[in-house]
Amino acid sequence: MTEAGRSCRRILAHAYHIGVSARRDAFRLFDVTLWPLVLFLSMTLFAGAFTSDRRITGLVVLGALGWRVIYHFQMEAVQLYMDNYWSGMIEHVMISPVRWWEFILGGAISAAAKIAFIALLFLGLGHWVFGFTVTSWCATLIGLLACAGCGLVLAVFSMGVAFLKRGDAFAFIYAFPDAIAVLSGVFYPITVFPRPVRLLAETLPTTHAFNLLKATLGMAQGDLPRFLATLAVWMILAIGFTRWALARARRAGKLVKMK
Amino acid sequence: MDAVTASQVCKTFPGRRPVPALLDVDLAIREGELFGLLGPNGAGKTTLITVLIGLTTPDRGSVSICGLDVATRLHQVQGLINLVRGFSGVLEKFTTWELLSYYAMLYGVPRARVHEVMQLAGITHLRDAQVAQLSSGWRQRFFIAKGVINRPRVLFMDEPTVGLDVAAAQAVRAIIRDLNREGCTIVLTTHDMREAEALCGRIALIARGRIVAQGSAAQLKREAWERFQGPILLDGEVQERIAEPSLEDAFLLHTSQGLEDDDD
Repeated sequence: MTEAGRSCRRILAHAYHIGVSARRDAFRLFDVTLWPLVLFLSMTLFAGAFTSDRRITGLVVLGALGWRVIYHFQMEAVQLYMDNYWSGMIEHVMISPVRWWEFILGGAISAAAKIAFIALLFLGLGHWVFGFTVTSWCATLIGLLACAGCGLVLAVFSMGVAFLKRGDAFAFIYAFPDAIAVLSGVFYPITVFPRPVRLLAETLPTTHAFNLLKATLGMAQGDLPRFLATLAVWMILAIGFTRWALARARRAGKLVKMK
Repeated sequence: MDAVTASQVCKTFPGRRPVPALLDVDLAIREGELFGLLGPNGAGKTTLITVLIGLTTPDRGSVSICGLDVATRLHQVQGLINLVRGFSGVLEKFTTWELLSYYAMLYGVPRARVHEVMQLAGITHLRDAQVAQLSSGWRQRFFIAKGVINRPRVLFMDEPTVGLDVAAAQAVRAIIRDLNREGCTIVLTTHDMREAEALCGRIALIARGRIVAQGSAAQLKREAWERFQGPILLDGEVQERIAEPSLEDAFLLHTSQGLEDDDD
């Protein structure tokens, strides 16, 4: 088997690991059922109570879906690493020929499967309960893929934080997608922010990813090149940080379980 | 060719009060050898193991496995080694088959190998049992199965019989012997002197991060006999010279000597 083949098997190994956990763990089950539904229904019912404008409902449906896309593409890989850490097995994984980015790609496979289910749930309920209809499947898919790209950048960055901070990292990592979504104008334009915050929001790829989704409803100007540029910059920074963090974790002996 | 070499390895863990863990460690373990690494708690055994397997980067010095430098060719090295550790945690809710399948995929070996290693460790009947529910003895057999899944050339075993009852420990020792007979180089840490004497061809004694003596059990005992003539200071008390030191006596003499040297 070639090294590329072995690498693919390692990526699938991680997806398999998450799959087994998801089948047996109520926490993981709620992650794709209860909690997304709580977010979806609380926001859509809130919006529906004050307006009958279908575009507002659509903004909430697509915003909530984009938010979950970012969350899952970020969290799957990190949760996989943390599961191994908390169970005291991290050293058994880290002495294998695994590469850090294989966690991310294994997590992405699992995230894609979970998002397919959640998208079905959100779009189905959105249509059935609120009469929401996707205006352009192609443009919506591009917007959701943009959100997935943002989730991967966050996943890379979060892996670095997990290497450095181990168990203490999770609280911060868990907060990243929510903080970023709020800062990126998930259900509103970023013009609501004061100027310094707006300038910061414009540097985030998530802001442009949400704009791509809003553009399908005619509620923002989608700018794909700008999204790709910010995504590339953040991805390069995240990769640099995580490579540095892994080397530092090796120096500090942080890839070993606490005895 | 040496299976494991460490040259002038030093490691101090950073912090407000930096902790020196390894000081100029030199080691050469031959291919096919069953090598013991003994030392008191906190002596640096586990740190040395984590440095040898590339999980911790040394501050100074170099380590190579089967001629490959761990610092520059870690990815290739990782395919040649594996680890068995006493008191390792396990993922909740995974069966032995599922967890071994995960490791088989990480090492790029076919799933058929999972069945082979389960047979080798004698755990085929536990295929659908959750690893977390296994008793210590069976769990340790599971870790041995995991440790040989990639047919490692060098297997590091960190206290593999710790906490096991007599029968389970004997079963694990028998597997260790078999693995070594089949050509696997084994680096074993243990606190059980009889186990070390029975299994290991050569032994290194480590105290406060330094290798204070190495050789066969017989050599270590003889050296202890020759070096420590007359009454000795052990645990702060003057004791009469030991007529025929056991490995345990030799261990105490060598490692406490290391401590006294350090205190000086």
